[in-house]
Amino acid sequence: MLETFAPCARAPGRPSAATLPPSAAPSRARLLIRAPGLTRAFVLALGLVLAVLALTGCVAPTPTADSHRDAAEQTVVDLLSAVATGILVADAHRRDLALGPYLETTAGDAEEAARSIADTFGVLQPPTPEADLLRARLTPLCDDAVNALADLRIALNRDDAEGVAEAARLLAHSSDALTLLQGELS
Amino acid sequence: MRWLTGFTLGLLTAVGGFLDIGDLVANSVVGSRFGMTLAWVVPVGLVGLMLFTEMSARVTATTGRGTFDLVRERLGPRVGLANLLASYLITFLTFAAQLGGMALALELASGIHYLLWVPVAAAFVWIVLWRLSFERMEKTYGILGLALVVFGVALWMLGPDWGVLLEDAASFAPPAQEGPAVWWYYAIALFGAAMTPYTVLFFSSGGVEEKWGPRDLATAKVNVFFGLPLGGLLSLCIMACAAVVLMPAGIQVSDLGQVALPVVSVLGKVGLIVVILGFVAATFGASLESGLSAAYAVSQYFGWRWGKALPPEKAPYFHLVIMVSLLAGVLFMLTGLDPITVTEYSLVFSAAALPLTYLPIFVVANDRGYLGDRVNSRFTNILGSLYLVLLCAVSVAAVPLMVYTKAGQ
Amino acid sequence: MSDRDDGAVFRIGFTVLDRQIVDAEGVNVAKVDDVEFTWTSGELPAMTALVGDTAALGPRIAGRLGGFWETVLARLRPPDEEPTRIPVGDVERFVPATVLSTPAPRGMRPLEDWLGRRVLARIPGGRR
Repeated sequence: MLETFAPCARAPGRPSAATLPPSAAPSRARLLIRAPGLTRAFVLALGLVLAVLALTGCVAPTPTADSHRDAAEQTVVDLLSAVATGILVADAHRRDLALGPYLETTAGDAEEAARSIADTFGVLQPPTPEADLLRARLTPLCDDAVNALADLRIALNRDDAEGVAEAARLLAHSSDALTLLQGELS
Repeated sequence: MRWLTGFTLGLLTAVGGFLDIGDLVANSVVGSRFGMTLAWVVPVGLVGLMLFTEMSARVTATTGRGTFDLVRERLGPRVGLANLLASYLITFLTFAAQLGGMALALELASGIHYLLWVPVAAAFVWIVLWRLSFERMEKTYGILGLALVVFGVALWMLGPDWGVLLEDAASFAPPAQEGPAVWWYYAIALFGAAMTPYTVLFFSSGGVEEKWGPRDLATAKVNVFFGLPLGGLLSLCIMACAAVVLMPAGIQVSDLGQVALPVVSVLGKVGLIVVILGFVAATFGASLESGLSAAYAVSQYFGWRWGKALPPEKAPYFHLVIMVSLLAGVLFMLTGLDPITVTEYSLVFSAAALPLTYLPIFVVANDRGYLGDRVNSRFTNILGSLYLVLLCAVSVAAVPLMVYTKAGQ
Repeated sequence: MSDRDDGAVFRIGFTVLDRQIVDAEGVNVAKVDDVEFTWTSGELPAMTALVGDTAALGPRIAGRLGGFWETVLARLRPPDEEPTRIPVGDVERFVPATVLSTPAPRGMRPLEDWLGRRVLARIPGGRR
């Protein structure tokens, strides 16, 4: 009587003896008996850890004076980076070092970055009166930086040398003010 | 004489094809924020890459089979599947990042918004993968990628204080304004950029496509031992340019345009054209390589027919994977995620998955059944084991550091 | 379990399973996902065929995921279609890859061939 013995017809999950080297089969079988419970527990534990991590990430931390100050410092640093980019771009335009599309794109990226940085700081809730003062100082600086970069982008678009020079002046002024604040914060 | 031109071509291709959007972004960001203090990561990553690429090349030249082909055979379907899933997801993320990088580079050249370029770039990648022969494809983007040598030229012309740069590089500590956690985070990202997993996968499958035999092993070794270090040198040039021009100005790189600023400042319009050409070539080449790698990985696991050498109708599933990956990549980038951010994440996740990619290669390269006498030497094994320990350490640290530093802030 | 061929003893786990099956013309056929044994009463079970059916990979992957895999792929297969199997007699050698002495049997991968014929060949450059 011919029986076609297909190992895969066995209960799924149990490796058939045919697929294992003989020496490995007994210990494998023993481990498998314990494995389902172990694996489940492990997966649950891992899931719990990940959930905790995710939740602590999602919930906004209670603003403290320190964290607000840190956020302000970071904002200043990031704004300085965007403003400095604008200054270099304006300089490159003045010295005719680059082509229009490149300058416009780079200036546009700096402006977008500055806007995003300013917004991120703007939505923070100041926890103390000192933080209020800090916010009152920083917010106009943010606006100045964003506007100067916007002016730069517009002037570059129109290939307006005077406009670019004016924007560069505004950016330099903005940079000085931000550097001053940075010195006070650190 | 023909041998010499072939050899030079291979070398140049290796250099030109080395850099991708990950290297461009990582080296530039690191240079602008940390100066040259993380320069040591590049040689460390490079040595690891050379080690495992050589192993992979030896396996391919001796057995005529690709890496993934052998992973499932040697380590079983379960480990092979885990390896495949991790490799595919990370290669896909890298692939999407390269497409995004290509779109950004085209935006710099044209002023047209990068999202409009994403489908165009993808279409171009697909056409090349569909029609162009393997060798021609490699040589084209390899040679064009050499345009990035402009960073070396720019660095030379900037005339920096080499003493200060070297001092920085040897200091092994973050600069005053940055903390150790961020420093190590970027070290890991830079390491991930140097040891990109898809490179080895592509290299070994490419060897099968080009039908390497033991004779080609010597050429492959030269490409690995001379080409890759030269590529690494270019990485350091990018880092140094950023350190010299951007760091003193307080610019922290967050966009591709800023990466080119040092070149523009000293080489003007000519430099700009060359550097954008280099960006496009590097990201284009990397798109091709990572797209193919993803398809190689899947096809070799399942035993399908694969390869650019076959007409597409003879390797349907292989090309289907390419098309699906391209479509998914385009859709992913069209969600508007910043390509630079996607790149940085792809680097960190690559770093996290490095042991999974490289351990199987190490195992196969030690197997006498496949390689006979050409198994790893004792030196290779010692170095390889050390690197595997390092890779595990990097892998364990990568994601927690990312969470702790909020992705590098 | 072991098999005898010219007195050589080999283990299926290493020599046969997960190897790439290549036909006489060097074209990839499939991976050996499972192995078929035939047990005639009065004799020892003998290996009769290599199964290159991706669904058969399921149970070898992991318990629940594997079973799910197998069920889904089995349901996707048309009812009167046989799982891909290659008679062991066609095998010329097992290592380093499983090489067949014949060209690949027709109709082994109907969906893939259909895709190649009907879809990819229609796109310009598909037949090159």
